[in-house]
Amino acid sequence: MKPLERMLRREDAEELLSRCVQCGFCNATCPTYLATGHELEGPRGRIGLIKSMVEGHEVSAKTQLHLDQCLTCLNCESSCPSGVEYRRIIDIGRAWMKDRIPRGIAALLPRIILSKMMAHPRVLGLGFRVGRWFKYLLPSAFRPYLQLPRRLSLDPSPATETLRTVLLLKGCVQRHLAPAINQALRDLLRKLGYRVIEIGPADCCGAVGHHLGESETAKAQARKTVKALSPYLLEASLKGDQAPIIMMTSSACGLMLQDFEALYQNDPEMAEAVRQIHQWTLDPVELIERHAPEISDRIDHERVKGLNLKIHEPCTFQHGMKLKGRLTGLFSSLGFKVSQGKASHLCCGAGGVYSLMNPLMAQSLREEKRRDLGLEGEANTIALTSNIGCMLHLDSKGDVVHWIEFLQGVFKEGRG
Amino acid sequence: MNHPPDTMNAEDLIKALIEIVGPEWVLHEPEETRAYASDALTAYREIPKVVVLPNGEEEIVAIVNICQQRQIPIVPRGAGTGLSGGARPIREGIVLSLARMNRILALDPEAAIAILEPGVRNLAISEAASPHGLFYAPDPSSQIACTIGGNVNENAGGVHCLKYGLTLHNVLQVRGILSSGEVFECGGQAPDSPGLDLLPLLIGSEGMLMIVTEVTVRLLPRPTHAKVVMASFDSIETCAHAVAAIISSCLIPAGLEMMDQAATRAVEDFIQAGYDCEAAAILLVESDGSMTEVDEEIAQIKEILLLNGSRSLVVSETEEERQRIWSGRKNAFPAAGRVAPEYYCMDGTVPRRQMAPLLAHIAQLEKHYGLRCMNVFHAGDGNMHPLILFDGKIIGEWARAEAFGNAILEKCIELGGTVTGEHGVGVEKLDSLCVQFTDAEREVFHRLKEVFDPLRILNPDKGIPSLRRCVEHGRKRVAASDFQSTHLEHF
Repeated sequence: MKPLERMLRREDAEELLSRCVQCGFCNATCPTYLATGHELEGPRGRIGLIKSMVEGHEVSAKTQLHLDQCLTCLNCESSCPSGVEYRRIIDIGRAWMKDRIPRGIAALLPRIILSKMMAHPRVLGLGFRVGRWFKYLLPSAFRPYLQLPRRLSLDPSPATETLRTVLLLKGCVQRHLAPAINQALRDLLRKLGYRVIEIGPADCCGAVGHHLGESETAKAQARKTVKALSPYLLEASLKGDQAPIIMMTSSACGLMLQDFEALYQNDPEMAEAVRQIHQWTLDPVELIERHAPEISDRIDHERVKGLNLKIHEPCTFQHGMKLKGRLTGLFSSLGFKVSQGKASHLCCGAGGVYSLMNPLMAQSLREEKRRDLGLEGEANTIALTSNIGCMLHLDSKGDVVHWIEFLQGVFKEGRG
Repeated sequence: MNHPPDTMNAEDLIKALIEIVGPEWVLHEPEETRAYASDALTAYREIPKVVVLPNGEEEIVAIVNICQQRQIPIVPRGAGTGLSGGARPIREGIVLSLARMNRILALDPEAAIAILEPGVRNLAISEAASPHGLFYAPDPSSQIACTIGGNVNENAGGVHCLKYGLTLHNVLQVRGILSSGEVFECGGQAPDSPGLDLLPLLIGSEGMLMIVTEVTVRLLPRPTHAKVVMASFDSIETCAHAVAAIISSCLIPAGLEMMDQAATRAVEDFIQAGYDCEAAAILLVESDGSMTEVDEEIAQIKEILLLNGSRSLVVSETEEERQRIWSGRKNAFPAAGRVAPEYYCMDGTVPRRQMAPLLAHIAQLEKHYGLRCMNVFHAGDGNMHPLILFDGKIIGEWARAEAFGNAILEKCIELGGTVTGEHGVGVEKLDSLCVQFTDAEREVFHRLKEVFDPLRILNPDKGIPSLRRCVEHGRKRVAASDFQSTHLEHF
């Protein structure tokens, strides 16, 4: 961080930190605090660590460790009565930390490799291929991400484009692991009458680098995404058309897009574009729920008979985009009998690349989540989710599915 | 403070503690121990020398044994949500966190009891009991996070304690470790137990008598129905009188809570509970029981409220709506963080008929001290929670907030009330206790403490003020009252 940026960040941080009254309610919904009972493994403690760092107290690798172990699930934001914007505080803390405590090469290497790989679609593709060959030599935490891609064989839907344009970002990981999800959304939206334009070239939106505290890499990637979207936004505004809807099938990426605004708040050049992107980015649930009545008539309920349907709303969906309950609501309104787990507010442990960096915590959260969803034991249980990260992390033999792919699969044939 | 010098150097102590609990669970760098410098009353801070997080009674015994040999003070801590500084560390002492011990050891639906480790969260008890149609009644506002061990030590209340009692009335048995390292158990699973009944003494003893390691609570059948009425009032006084009217009509609502406009506005921003933010004050009145009981009682409550000046009423239609209305109330304290950087929460009680005069006095004090105050309280039992809003970064504001708070508490005593209803004395109300009790009464407290903890290592210098402190406080009061009397009208 440059001195000027550090100064601006300090001012931001002080403002953000002053909201916290240290009531400790957040600890009760923090997965790492619940697992350890350790004050520094909860949001209140982490905020305290960042506060003392910003105030100039000594920090060591211990602070770094406690910040690294945060899943960034943002459950704390949902339970904070004082309205503390934890995600912005932890971002500042991580960026600050990066300058203060250099990481050893062993810790640094995977971070650099991961964030750089995301920036180059070809390298990422190659990485997946090579990774699959050496699957059993790599740590087991990597295995969920090294399965063969799932594709759909679909006839192209007829163009009945009457509604708005949807700009569908291809995503990076998705393309290599589950292209079926984007295919399914494209198909569904076209059936509903939208014009779908897929935006490549499948770069990471910056979320991965952002999670890893590699803010420069994240910013560069975000800038690329903004650039890819800008012509369409500009075109619409020149033509006086309704602005296109920006969409991604992974809620983690959707949240990142909305957060571009915070990333570029001190950059006047980007301000307008990121404001528009925030305004026009929708999670697929927000769009599809508007069409619930027409979709519900076209669902083949015979095909889901005997299935026990569970909903897993990702943290980025419920706590980040504040859409808690909306995925469950959508499926209920479509006539499905669905339910959530008792601890539906808790993170599954995927946390972007968290599961690769902190496999032990991630694994124990995964097991709890699978139990809570009834995936262990109850037969014919399928969990539906809205983020590829959670899906791959939680899945065992195909029992966790992206809701869009599921919905597309139970659509009645015949086109209307 | 008169603790003898620590004969064990810090390194040896840390080494000994690590041997008991493992290196991961002993914190000693200020970088980490700073997180334990205060509970939720952040104005009182002290960075502890060491924080230790045991997992099991045996480990606690071993820790206490080390501390008693070297006379190292121990400050027990639950979730750190307390509001009186009870878990504020002592510089030369250790903080003993019980947060890892969060297992529900047994839940017997037939006996309607649960046996808990001290770190079990209050809400987690009701969640676990819920499939059996049972619940744990005391529900402090921090119930999502606070622990049963902390509840026992503070004798926590909550919005439903008007009907169901405080922690004291819902705990059957407590087990703990004395400062000698011996296990001490009192109470029993039957309603009465042989020997001296020391349970009421231990509940609310603020970690001064023993370290609680196990709690057996009574579970109650969850009422099949519950509804809450939200009544709006144009003035705080009318609202306070309506409370008195409800109580004097021989009704015992399941909850009877009051919030002023400043509070409803702050909360509405977070929860969207549906509060009437235009009203000067709102009253939440709950009825629970069977459907007919609830309907009858709600009708009665509505009638009384309308007769006593409520300008509009809303009754919760669904369970979800009822939960939302209560959730607003339960988040009221921290929601103050939306309108001011810090708040200082008071906990005085007054006889219910004195609520209106006290509120009028608080309004005067707001002007006098130049600080705003949000009012939230358990109106049903006269337990007031004025939240004094301040900014600690402004020099002198905390001192003014503290003086404001003390003035409220002394008024509570003057009106026949007490300085604490449910948050405990901790470090915060030590001075107020000098006013509340006589020298002789305080002396009895000290002697009782000595029976349990002759070495004075368990949360020393909390809960009971020393004689010297009271003498000093007396001098200050005389000086302050001369000053105040020229500015304030008295009631």
